[in-house]
Amino acid sequence: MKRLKINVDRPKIKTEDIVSKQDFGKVLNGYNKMKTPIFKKPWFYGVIGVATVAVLLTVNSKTTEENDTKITSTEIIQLPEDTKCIHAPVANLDVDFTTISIDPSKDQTIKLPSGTTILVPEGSLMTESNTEVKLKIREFESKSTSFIAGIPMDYKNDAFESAGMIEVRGFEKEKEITISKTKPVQVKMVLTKNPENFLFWKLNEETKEWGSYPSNFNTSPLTNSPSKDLKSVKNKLVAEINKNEVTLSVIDQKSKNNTEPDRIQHNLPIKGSQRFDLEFDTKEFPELSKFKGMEFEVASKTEYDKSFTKKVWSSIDLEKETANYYAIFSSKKEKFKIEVRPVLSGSKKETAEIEFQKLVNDFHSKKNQLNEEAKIAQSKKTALQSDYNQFLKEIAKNRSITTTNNQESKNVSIANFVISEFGVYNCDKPINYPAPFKEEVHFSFSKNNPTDIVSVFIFDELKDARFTFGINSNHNISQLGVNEKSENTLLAVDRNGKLGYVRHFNSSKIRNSEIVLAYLDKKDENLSFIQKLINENTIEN
Amino acid sequence: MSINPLYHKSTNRLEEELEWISRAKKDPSHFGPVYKEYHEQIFRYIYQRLGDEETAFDITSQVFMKALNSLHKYEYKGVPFSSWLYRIAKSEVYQAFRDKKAERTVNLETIHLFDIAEEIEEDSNEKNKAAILKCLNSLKEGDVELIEMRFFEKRSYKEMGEILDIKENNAKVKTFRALDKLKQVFANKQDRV
Repeated sequence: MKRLKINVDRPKIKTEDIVSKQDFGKVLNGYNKMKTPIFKKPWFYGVIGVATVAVLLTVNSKTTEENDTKITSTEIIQLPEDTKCIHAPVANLDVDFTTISIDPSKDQTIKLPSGTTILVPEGSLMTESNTEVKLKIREFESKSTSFIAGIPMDYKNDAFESAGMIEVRGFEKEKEITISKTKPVQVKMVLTKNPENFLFWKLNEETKEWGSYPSNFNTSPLTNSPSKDLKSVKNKLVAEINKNEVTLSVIDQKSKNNTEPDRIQHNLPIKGSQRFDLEFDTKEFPELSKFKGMEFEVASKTEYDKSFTKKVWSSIDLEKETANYYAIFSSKKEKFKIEVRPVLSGSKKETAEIEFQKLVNDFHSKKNQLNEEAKIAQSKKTALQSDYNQFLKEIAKNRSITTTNNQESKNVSIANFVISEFGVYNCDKPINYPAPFKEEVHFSFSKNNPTDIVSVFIFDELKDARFTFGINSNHNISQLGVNEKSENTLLAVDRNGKLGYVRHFNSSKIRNSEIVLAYLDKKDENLSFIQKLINENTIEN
Repeated sequence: MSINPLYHKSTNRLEEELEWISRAKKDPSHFGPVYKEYHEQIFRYIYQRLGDEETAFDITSQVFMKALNSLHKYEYKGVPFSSWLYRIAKSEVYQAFRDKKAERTVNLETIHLFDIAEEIEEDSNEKNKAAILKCLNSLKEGDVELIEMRFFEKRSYKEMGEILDIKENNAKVKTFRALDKLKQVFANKQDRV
């Protein structure tokens, strides 16, 4: 079968001809159209909402439990930047940092929603002004969050099964700071698993390798019960929802007020209407003096005999009844009366047309702007509603924790370690990569239509690990393999960042060396959907 | 075999290029020098794989728009920026094939057929040249691309590796394998005759 068209000795295009077609302006325009403003991205509101809950939980639990320390302020930052070592694999999707402003001249204890505590001793942070420092913190409690954040999870030829991971960064006026070697920061990280057989590691971001790191494990009662302060969070969310509703109704009202300019109101002729000259006495109709010498247009709202313009009339008179004008055509045989209105013509019309066109353009641009604002507010409404629902679930969860605490303290495993460098710390167990498939496989989004995949991730439920192949991994895609006995989900990213997946993945899904991917819709590129895909489903718990 | 020197850059040029990119990351209008520098290379790469000139120009523009859009993700890995552009171009070209906006075309010169005939140790007579063209059609796309890059575009293995995101040695091995396959198909066709 002929697949290729082959041209031999096709005439070459000269460099000058190619250069003459260069049009950087077109590229810039195309780029500007392609670029989605941050505020229009659906993740924006979702992340803001979720992060708001997280931060408020932090502050509230802090103020109630740690009276001797004070967190000066908190803020949410935008998507974290990729670093040399940490690359978020899905465009526009990342795990946000919670940013906490602290006073480095005092001992500070930060308590995170997970129960993890960070003690920053006075003088521990090497600052210039010693006034305000921002700590940016994020915890990765699941395969999905470490995946989304792009944390490398390979150790030599193995993958990591994680029992808890935290990333801590420190900044003073946007400049990265360091920690004193003699006064390190102390971390008590709540683990998600029993750490037996697990080790502790720090990510070397220069070599992109994990190195063993000293720590000790113990168990401790979970004291984090922030339910008392959830009320204020709820109030804030409700206030946000209400505020957005007001925004929506204002936009709606503005849309109603933004009416399309009417040619009739601007004394401009309507296309296709019959017009004729009509002499009249300005003394009788002084209000029409500005139309003197101008035209009249038929304004009848009902059907009429259009042939009147072809007939011969002995006189044409203008009459006014209430606010309407009528032209009365008379001849010996008949009389014809029709409603008319004066319209501008000549240079007056030209000037009025320009002004009118400007009004029409203003109307359309305002209409488009209001539509955009409405879209944003609608998407914010959906996101806020979803955050609110999630929040209600959190409350339910926290209530159950509180109840349990009242009866019996819940013990959790803790990793205790000190840090004199900011970075990523992880409680992990190395797991062998599965043996590669015997045949090299290729990927497609539809059968027999190969696509260029750059990264493949296998989420192994049994091993609770993510195996990475391709970019930022020690394993090539040609080394792809799977634990046949486990429940696996395969996620793949192509050169354009397009995501595909295969659920319940094992070798039976390979047909003729091909793995056919289901396309992950853009709207599903979010933490919640990825959690569902890999059976974490924490939100539904 | 002579190799196209366009791709290789001195350290100074690479540094200058990095400066351009760093500026463009802050302000996309500074992407102009990069566009000027690579427009022709990328166009030729695309046009090599397509039959239609206008479509090739359109896809070239699309490549630069996408590059600008993803520039914040670009990270210098010691190779010219063009290798990143080539990867985007490759992806855009295949997307055009999938969307049926363009037809996969291989453009070559008669002289290239001599090179290939030589590589597969066959006489470069008219009959064999015609047979090679038919054999190319029997190869998988990946193999055609390797032969195309090496023999029709005269790219070095280093450059091929960087464009295909594989090691230089791997590019070499894969190209030899592709040639082997071509040789095999050629032999089978001769047997049948």
